[in-house]
Amino acid sequence: MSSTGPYRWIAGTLRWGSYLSALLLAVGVVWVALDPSVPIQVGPGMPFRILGEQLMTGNPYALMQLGLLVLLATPLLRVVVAAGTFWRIRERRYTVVALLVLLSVAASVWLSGGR
Amino acid sequence: MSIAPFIAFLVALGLVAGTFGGLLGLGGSILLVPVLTMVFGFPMAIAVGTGLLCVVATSCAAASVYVERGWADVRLGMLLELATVLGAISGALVMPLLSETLLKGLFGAFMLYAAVLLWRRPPGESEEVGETLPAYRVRNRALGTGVCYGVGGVSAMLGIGGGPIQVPLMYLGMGVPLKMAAATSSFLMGMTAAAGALIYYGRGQVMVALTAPLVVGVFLGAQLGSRLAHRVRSRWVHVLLILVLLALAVMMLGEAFGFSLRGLA
Repeated sequence: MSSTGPYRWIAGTLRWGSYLSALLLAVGVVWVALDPSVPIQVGPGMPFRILGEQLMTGNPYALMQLGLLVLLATPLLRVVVAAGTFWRIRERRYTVVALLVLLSVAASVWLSGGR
Repeated sequence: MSIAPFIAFLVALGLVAGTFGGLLGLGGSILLVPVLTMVFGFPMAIAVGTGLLCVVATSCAAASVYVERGWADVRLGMLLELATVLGAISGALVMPLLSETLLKGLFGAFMLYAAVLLWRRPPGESEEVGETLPAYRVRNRALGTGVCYGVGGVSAMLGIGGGPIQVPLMYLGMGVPLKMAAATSSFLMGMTAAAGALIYYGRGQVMVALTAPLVVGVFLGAQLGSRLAHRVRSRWVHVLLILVLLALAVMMLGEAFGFSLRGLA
């Protein structure tokens, strides 16, 4: 088993992205579950422009939303790391493939309206 | 009234889905989307958006283990990922134009087809992934890439990771051993699901309070499932996969034809 192979940075990106996201989500979820003073919020996430402000005021839903955003960013970062890995091991064809994946996802972000 | 029991239920549901997903290379939402729509009555778009985020969680947690072990074919995964991401963007854009009944019917028919394909091809002893990786040669790359474009579209429309197509495709059509196909599927489905999930998120179809506890459970389950995969033999993975696919096919087709499970919760 190749734990020290060329793809260890890809594995590490996925692992630490998962851990950070899970930590943020778990804290938010436990907070909402245990604190009866937190009002129940049903609905979509809050817009980016107020997310930072809500985090500063201690809104657990903002923390959960940040966890979901970290989760969404992890595969993206993994593709960036994969592009770098393929470039380093001189796999030019797969470097291009990774960059095309990133370009496609950029289109997806643009289509999402950047909420 | 405390919402703690409901949150605990969602975490437990995510745990079960994540364990199956991590073990079988499915993403986990294949269990969650039917439960959210059929049992709790959430609109399909909300269930799909939630399901896609759970797929990203399963993929990241399970794939980190599989890439480190060398089970995931990273090159093949990246190639197929390009096709699935383009498909996912197309699927997420087309989804609002389709009816819920049609989507449920598609979901069910699709599960049934994958179960039949798998039934016809049990894994052999030479394909067992243990301490050494089995030798194999990837074939039909062009066909695989083409099919994966469709997989991405289906994934974004139905909120699934695409594993039920990708695993049989790689195993039956491209010559990849079953457990390595499941590991590679886990690897590539995260990006596919993220591409679709971004669009649902932007449309406001991801409910944070519903998704967060499910994702926490999915994370834990995916870690457990990917570690269990090391101890479970391929033929058990095969049987389990067929049973899960058949059960979901019956449930979804039943719902599409008007037999509702809603109200059981």
